[in-house]
Amino acid sequence: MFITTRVYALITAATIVIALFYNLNLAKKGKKLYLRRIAGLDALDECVGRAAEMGRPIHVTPGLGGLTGTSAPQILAGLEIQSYMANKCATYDVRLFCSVSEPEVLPVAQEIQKAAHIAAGRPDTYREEDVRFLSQSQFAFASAIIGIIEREHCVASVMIGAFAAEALFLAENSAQLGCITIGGATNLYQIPFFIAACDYTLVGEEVFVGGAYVSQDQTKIAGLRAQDIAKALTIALLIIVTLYTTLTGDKSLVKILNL
Amino acid sequence: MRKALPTAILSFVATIVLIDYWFKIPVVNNMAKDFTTWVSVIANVALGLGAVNLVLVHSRHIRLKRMEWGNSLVLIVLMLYVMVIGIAQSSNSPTYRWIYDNINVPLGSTLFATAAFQIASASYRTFRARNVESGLLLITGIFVMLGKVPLGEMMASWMPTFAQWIMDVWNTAAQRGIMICTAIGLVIISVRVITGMERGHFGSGE
Repeated sequence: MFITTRVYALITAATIVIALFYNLNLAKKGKKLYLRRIAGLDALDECVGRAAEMGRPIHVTPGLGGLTGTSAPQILAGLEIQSYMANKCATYDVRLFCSVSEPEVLPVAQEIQKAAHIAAGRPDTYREEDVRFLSQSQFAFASAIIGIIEREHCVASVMIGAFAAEALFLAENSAQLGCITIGGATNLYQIPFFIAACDYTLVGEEVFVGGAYVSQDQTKIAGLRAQDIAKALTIALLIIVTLYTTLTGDKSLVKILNL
Repeated sequence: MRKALPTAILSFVATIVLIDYWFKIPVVNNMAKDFTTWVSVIANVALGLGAVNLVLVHSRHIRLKRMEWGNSLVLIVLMLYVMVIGIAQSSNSPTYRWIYDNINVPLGSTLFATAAFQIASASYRTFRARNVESGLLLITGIFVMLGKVPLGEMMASWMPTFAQWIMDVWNTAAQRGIMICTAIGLVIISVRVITGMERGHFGSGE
């Protein structure tokens, strides 16, 4: 009944889940959990501030992908950022454009924007056309975003989520148009492009901390602490296996862990 | 309720799919297979939503004669034309293929080709030695670039080996570090979404 070849995936997932609930319990008991500063996420407020001062809009995109498949967690992380930006923008009466590449993301992104305007007490300022499905084709998607940024004179371009070859095109053209650029990707091939072209970059796991970071919600931060514990355990495991294998010449641990 | 119901559905479906990954239970395996089929159905229905959104946004541009409204007109006309061809003759018909191969593919390739210029301008900004980090990046970048071209080998015979060492050791180590942390982050955000702890994507308020 149990697929034995997947036992280590189950152990890893179980360890992470246990760490998550342990930290959640700590947070509920009132323990203050520390969260380091992340410049890219701090800059989101700077973008809204500048946009409000200049009376110009902001563009945000969760990237190329849908709500299913491997890109889903990145897209959800991007939508968390959109949610935060939408709340801030609605409060300060800043127009926020959001572009999506998959039609199934469109109603979710529209709902986020609408809810933000209602929560800010300005339902009349919500414009359905500000959230757009552009194209599933990556370069058509990217060029359409650049078109919006140029036509609407956006002051900032936030690109946090799932990105592929269009990352450089998006980031560099946004920078050329004078935007504050904040990029975030987990795709190893696109991170260097974001680092090169963006003012601020979220690298790898930082993409997933956005929701917790911007809300400063202790229960959400508990999840990040669990992430750090899992990382520490992984590092410890790597060191132990490396030392054991090097010193004894026995590769049994490497085989067991399928390294 | 606005958040509770979607979260409950999400948690239920995700639990079934997770059980399907680790266990061979016919009832659960069949349910997971059905859910996967539903994903395709929902995605196809959503495609219609996307098309409606496109038409609404661009028809408004045309009606209000907004900046570059001509582009919106071209988009709507071409979209409807391709849609009609696809429905009438199927997406494998020669006309449909011609449009795809001679319009869509070259446009995508042209934009991809501009990447070389984007890299040059982005690198120029990044490789300016403004602080210690960008200075190190500049020096490393110079060694790697020289190691990858014949000029580097002409200057010093060890250059290609050194460049490869930077790529194999330093670069790979950093990439694997990012990869492992990203994988752990993926698991954590998935658990947070499945358990309803992360609900920002449902929007603010109840």
